[in-house]
Amino acid sequence: MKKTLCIVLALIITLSMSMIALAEKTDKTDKTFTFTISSDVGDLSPFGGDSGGRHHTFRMIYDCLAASYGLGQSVDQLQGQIAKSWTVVDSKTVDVEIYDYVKDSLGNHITASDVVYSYEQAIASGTMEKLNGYLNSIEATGEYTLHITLKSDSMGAMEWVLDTVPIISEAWFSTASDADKTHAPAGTGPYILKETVADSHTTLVRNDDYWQTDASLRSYYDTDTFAQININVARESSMRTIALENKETDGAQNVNAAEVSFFMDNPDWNVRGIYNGRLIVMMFNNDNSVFANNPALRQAVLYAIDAESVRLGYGYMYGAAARDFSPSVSGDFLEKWKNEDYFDYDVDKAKSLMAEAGYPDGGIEVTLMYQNSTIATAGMTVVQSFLADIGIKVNLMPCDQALFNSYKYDNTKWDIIVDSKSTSDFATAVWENCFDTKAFENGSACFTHDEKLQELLEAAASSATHSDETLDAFHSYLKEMAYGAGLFEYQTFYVYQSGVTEAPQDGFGNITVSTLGVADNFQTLGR
Amino acid sequence: MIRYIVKRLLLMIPILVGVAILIFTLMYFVPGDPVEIILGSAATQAQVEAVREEMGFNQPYLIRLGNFLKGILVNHNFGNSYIYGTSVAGELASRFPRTLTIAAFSIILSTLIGIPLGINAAIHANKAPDHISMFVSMIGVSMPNFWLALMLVVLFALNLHWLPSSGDKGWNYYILPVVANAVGGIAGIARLTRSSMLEVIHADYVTTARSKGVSERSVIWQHALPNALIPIITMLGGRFGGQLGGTVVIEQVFSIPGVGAYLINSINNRDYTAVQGSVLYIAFTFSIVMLLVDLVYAYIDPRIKAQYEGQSKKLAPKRR
Amino acid sequence: MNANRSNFLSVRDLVVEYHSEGEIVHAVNGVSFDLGMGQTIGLVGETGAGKTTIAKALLRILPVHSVENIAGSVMLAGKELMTLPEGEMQQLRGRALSMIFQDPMTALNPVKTVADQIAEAVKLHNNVSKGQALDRAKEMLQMVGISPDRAGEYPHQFSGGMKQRVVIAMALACDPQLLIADEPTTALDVTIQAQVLDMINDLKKKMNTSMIMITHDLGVVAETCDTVAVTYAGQIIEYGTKEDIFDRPTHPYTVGLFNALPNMNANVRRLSPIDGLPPDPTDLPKGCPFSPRCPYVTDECRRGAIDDIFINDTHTCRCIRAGRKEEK
Repeated sequence: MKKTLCIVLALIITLSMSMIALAEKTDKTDKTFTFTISSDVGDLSPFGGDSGGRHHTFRMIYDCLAASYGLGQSVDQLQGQIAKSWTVVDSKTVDVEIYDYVKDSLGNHITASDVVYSYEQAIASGTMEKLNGYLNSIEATGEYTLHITLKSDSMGAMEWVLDTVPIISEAWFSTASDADKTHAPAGTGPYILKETVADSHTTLVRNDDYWQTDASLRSYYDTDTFAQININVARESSMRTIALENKETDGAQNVNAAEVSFFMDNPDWNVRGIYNGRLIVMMFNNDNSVFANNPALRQAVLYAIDAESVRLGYGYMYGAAARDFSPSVSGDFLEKWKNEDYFDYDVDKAKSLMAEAGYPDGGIEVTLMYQNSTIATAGMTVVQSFLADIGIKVNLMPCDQALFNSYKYDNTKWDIIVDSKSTSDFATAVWENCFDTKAFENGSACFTHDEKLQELLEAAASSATHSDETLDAFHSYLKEMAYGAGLFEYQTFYVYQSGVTEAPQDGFGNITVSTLGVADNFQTLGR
Repeated sequence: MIRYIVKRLLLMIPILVGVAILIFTLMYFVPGDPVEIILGSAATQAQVEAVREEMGFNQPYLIRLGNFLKGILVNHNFGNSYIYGTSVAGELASRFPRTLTIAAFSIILSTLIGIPLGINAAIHANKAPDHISMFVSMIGVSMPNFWLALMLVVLFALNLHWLPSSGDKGWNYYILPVVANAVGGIAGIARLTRSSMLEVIHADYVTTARSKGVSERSVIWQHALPNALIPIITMLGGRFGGQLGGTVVIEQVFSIPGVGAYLINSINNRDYTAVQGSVLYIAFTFSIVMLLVDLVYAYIDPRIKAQYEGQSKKLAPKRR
Repeated sequence: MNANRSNFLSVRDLVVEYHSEGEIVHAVNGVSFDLGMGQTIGLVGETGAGKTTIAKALLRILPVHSVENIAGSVMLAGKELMTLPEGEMQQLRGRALSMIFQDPMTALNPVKTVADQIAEAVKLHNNVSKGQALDRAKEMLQMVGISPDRAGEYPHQFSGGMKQRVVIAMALACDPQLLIADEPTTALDVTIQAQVLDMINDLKKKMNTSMIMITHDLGVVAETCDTVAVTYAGQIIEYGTKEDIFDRPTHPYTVGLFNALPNMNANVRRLSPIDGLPPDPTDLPKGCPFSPRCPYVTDECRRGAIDDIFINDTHTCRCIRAGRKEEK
């Protein structure tokens, strides 16, 4: 009797344990999500470049050492992924410890030497030049520990080094074929790439064997709400809008500002407008044009342009004029800049500056170069008409992307350039990108040769001296010299079905599907 | 006949080599390269220059041309795309069936509608049916296919929910793209059929056929039409060959990953290997289509067949 | 001619008008003639006299869109053809009546073999299989002097004379009772001409076919015809047996035609053609159509249409002089 009782009890306990285990497993939902994006996902191999579509996807397939959650975070604000913890030794040195149970989707165990290998491969691929500019050395000091040193102490350098390199297994990568790397990579993230057809669709399925079994330790990228994620490409903006209206997709990226009002007060959809860290800037040719050595003339041009009108010319119904040569969402953007004059539209002031510059009646003809698109051309014609008011005749020169890229460093090609700049963290990143003499053959992106500017830039950008004062000093000097200025920033829109409750934005201005929060009764609309 | 085919195939080789050199040279002289697009707009000039050097874009023309030709002739591959990282040949091979589907079905649809429309117009020349047919086909050619595609999507996908709006996940996804693509071709085919048939309908042998008691329907379809087909087939062949190169607008609107989308994006990205590979592929398929068109001529018109064979018969010894 | 319509073919008051460039063309203006079984009638006249139009009108293969008006009656073996429904007419074409065309170079379909074209006629009108039709086609080819081995060849592989033979084979393939030959030898050179005419005559005799021989060549008429109808401006202005016309030409036009023939025996410096040109069919003269050119014209000629005058039982003429001549 006792024996049978014991056996029965044991059975009951085992059964209930397995029920609980099963229950835990079935707690994972089998929801799917269909998302429509505006440009192809590109190369999904670990180090496949930096195309816009890839950003939506690769963080779900690969884990990096850490993840940033928004713009301008410092090292201690990062969320750990493969890295369990890290210690900042000085502004250019950091020690990292990784989890000892990391494995990729094929089961390969990840150690510190795999991390070193990943970083070496990233630099060797040639697609991560910015990393190459920041990283000095990385070595494994133990089986799960690393020592990283940087070449630069610029703001955001250390975060960049920790946050952007996918970690893969050397055993897999060194033997995988090109096709495997792009179409069936062994990643360390919560999703596995099942299928990708260029310009068409990409399918991700949840990795049920994801290495980070402790949900509380996962970064926000690594939540696995969905069993399957379908990403569809629709290049035409009207087709994205139609897919939403026709309830064929759960969400779409880059919905046209003119069409988004349809979804705004509509209970069937949630609209998320974000400032994605992009800024439209205007720069002058500072060594080989009428603008060289003539700050008054440059300022005149900037005061003559009403940036809000230009923004509306582009068709960006939602946005704001710039207050600095950086987007206002930058992590180190100073509040006070929002209240100061920043070339606020003033035709009279512009005219008096023209006189000061030596052109009281205008009579100048200049070439304005920009990347060709219908909206940009519309915006540039607005600029053209503003400058005509002060007697400057503007010849527009639209170029396709590749041509633009090859002409922008040529000081014989343009007098004024309008370009799009962005940052994923700090304003100093934009400043360095355009004005750091060390990175350019001819002074800077706008051919400046100003030692004082370089000094102020270095003071502001170095994490050792980065402060409100140094930031403001650069900002004010640049404003005074008017070598170039921000024009406006604008919102881009994501539209989701009403079942999506949260949509966090990362530093690159993207919303990654795995990070979305959905209601309990979420039903996918995709087929 | 076999001799003729072999001769034509052999002739294709110098043509393709010429095309390869030409497209390589053109891309070489076009300003811009894929480097900054690969690195992203945040790259500095120094970074861009470094990668440019590494990828060999600063090497002289002849060396780069040599590598390219060697790649094709010796290694039998077009290289990997700079932007996507995948093999260009593989990418073309997987996209080709989609473009082929759209091109083939839309040519078939255009023909099925265009030829009867043209015949109808020819039979009732200068009367009401003629004017109506020509008017209908004129509308077809005047509509920009981009606009028509969107209108079809609004009607059939958005309003009626009969068909999906974009993508290529099943056979029903191809219906709207094929229709949008076919409409423009109808006009050309109808007009050409009409004028070709008008010439043939007044021919003596058509009167002969009637005098034998052949029904009017047979007179048109079996006696007149085969003689009118030659110029129509030329046009269809040219059109089909062109469309195999990619129906760019349709692919863009409906998000169908075909050859056209690939080529346009590669050009914009200055993805050299992809552009060169795609252009060579287009040259190749076009040549094949033209050869097929010439063979169809021979099948329809025995005089042309005799011409082809006559050329090789010149080499055969005279019979005594 | 006889009011009696018991002949095999009987045409009465056939009228055909076209419209062309906004004007009415009076191609055939009241043509009547008879034809007995196994007989041959020659339709003689200059180009543009309306002979081919008459032939096509009988077969009802005139181009539908250009025709303004067809009137008249055509009785073939007692059946009225003009009012037959198209379906029935199609059954008769090629079988009961068929036509040989003027230009052999364009009369055959270039993309079909000669055997196929002949067999098509056979298969349309006889309930036979494709194989049997082809056999009959080969038979016909043999009959016209072409080797049946050449059955699978295409028209472009034959010379002009051979092509015409194929056309003849095609026309005769179904044993038609009435054969219309529209200037069958005009496009051929003289030696071939003789061969083709002989062949037509032989076949005609063998199958007892009635024939309408359209020609402008009086020599051909002499060779092949039993009766002759001389046409001018869409009318038959003189009609009779071969002897009537050749021995006693009455109408000034007929006389003019014979005078225009070069005489091998006479020693003349110039030929004597008929003065003037045939009238414009859109603007025919009132009264006798020949009046502008006739050396004997009077006012009465121009007044109104001229009726047929009977010279004897078989010979009629549309000239007021004819009647008077006889009276004298």
